[in-house]
Amino acid sequence: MISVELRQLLTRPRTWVSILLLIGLPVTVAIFLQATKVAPRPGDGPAFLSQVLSNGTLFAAAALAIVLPLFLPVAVLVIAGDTIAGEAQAGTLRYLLSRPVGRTRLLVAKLISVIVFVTLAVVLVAGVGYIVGSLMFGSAPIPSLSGGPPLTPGQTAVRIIVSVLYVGVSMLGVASFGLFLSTLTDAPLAATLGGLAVLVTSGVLDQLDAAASVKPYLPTHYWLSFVDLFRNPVLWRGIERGLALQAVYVFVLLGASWAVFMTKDITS
Amino acid sequence: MIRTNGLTKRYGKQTVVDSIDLDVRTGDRFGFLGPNGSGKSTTVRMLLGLVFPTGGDVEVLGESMPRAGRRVLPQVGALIEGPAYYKHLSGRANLRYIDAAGPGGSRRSRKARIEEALERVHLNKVDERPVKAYSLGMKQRLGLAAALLRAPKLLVLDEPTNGLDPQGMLEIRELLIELNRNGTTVFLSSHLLHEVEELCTRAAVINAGKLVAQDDIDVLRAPTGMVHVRTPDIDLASYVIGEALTRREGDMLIARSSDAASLNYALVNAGVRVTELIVERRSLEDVFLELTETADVPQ
Repeated sequence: MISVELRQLLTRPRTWVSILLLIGLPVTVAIFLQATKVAPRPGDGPAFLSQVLSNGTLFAAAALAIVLPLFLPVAVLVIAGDTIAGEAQAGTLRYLLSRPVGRTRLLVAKLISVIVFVTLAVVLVAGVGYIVGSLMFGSAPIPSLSGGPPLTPGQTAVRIIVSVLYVGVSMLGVASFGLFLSTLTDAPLAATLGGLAVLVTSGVLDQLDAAASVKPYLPTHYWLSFVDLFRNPVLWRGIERGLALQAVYVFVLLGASWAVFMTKDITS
Repeated sequence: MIRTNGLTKRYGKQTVVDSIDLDVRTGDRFGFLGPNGSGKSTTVRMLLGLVFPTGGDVEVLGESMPRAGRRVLPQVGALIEGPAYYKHLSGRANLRYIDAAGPGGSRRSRKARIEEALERVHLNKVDERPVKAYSLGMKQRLGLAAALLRAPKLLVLDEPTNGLDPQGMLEIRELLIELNRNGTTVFLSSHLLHEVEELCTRAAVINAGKLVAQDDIDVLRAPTGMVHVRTPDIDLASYVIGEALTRREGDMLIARSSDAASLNYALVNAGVRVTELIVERRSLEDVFLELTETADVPQ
């Protein structure tokens, strides 16, 4: 079932169209920057963009920061929301389960395909960002974000890889929301939009001083903490907390998905 | 082959399936009949482990469902409330997908089995168009092909001839009879009483969640004890039949008789030309309507 599911994911046009769109946005931004050479002021706009003009390899991280707020989570939620609810809507869920495909196995296969999508998306966004950035802006050594010695290309590359992993884990949290909602409904769109509602609410509360007490527990709170990787010395606190928070969400939501799906009556 | 014991399903306060004891024997062609909302589909889904019973148990192929699903279901071919597909894939691609998704579908024989299944349902000439371009009849046939992929011991079919023209219905009926002759037990749920009458050896009727009849078709369609005689020699025939005659309709006499052969003998011996002699049986429709007329359909 797992290999069947992966083949489906990788041969569906939808998968590659979403990834292309995801890559398209940072590339568009790069083109504008290259054309006008107008850098945003430090602190203004998406992270890293102000330094990208001097070191293009940093564009990998900038690209991630560009797609993070909306594009990437939406793409992940579309795939994740479709996992079980999509089969229910098409009516194929009853045929899969009576084939038989064990309910746990189906859930695992769907989860793996979402993880593969997240990995592909994040790696390709960062990878294309790295290549496009290097080609367009060159690669002079970057001053680190909080003073201290500049980063070597090797160090930059390592930090970019860790950023990719970190963003991947954050998106896994998003995928878990999508998968959970997908087990609850027969409409994939409801699962996707439900996940989006959670993220938007989290984003809004994160800006609210009145919600200060819950901020450390909001799923989107630590999303951009990978920026701290580019300080010298690295500031690990945000990253550690971010990873731990996502781990809790993933664990709880996947457990809940399993519990719901194992006991659900399939009437679709 | 299928045995349920007090099988019950409740959704909140509503009892959709009420303690039914199904008995489908190996080699049966079993018809499962019931009006809309009677609990038919829910029962079928409980047999396949899709819906969990609230009470009672289900045994399919001798093993308890849904626990033994992994062992039992590869030997069952199912069509549940109509076929379902991945619309963007072709018919063959759909069959490859569903065959590969679970146990019991050997990759080596897959292509051959797919072609054989398609041939059985007369779809072997279909091209690689996506299923969304198929007609209703083609979709139905593809669903049947999917059920036949692994030469199942048991077929659980819901409205298998839905969307088919009379020729198609005949082909499917013949296919099911042939499969049954080769050892496949057929469990058929249908609204088409005539189809069930033609095809099945045993039948059960469910109404408002309760099993109101379960027997051999011949027993359900028991003779009414009346015989219809069509003859040009009406008056002579009436005389021979005597007191047993209940009424006359044109050139047809309806008489009470438990032995049609002796009646025929008596008539012929008396010189009556018998054009037609029919033993009156209750039709399945009569039986069905009688059993299902009084109950309220659960909302």
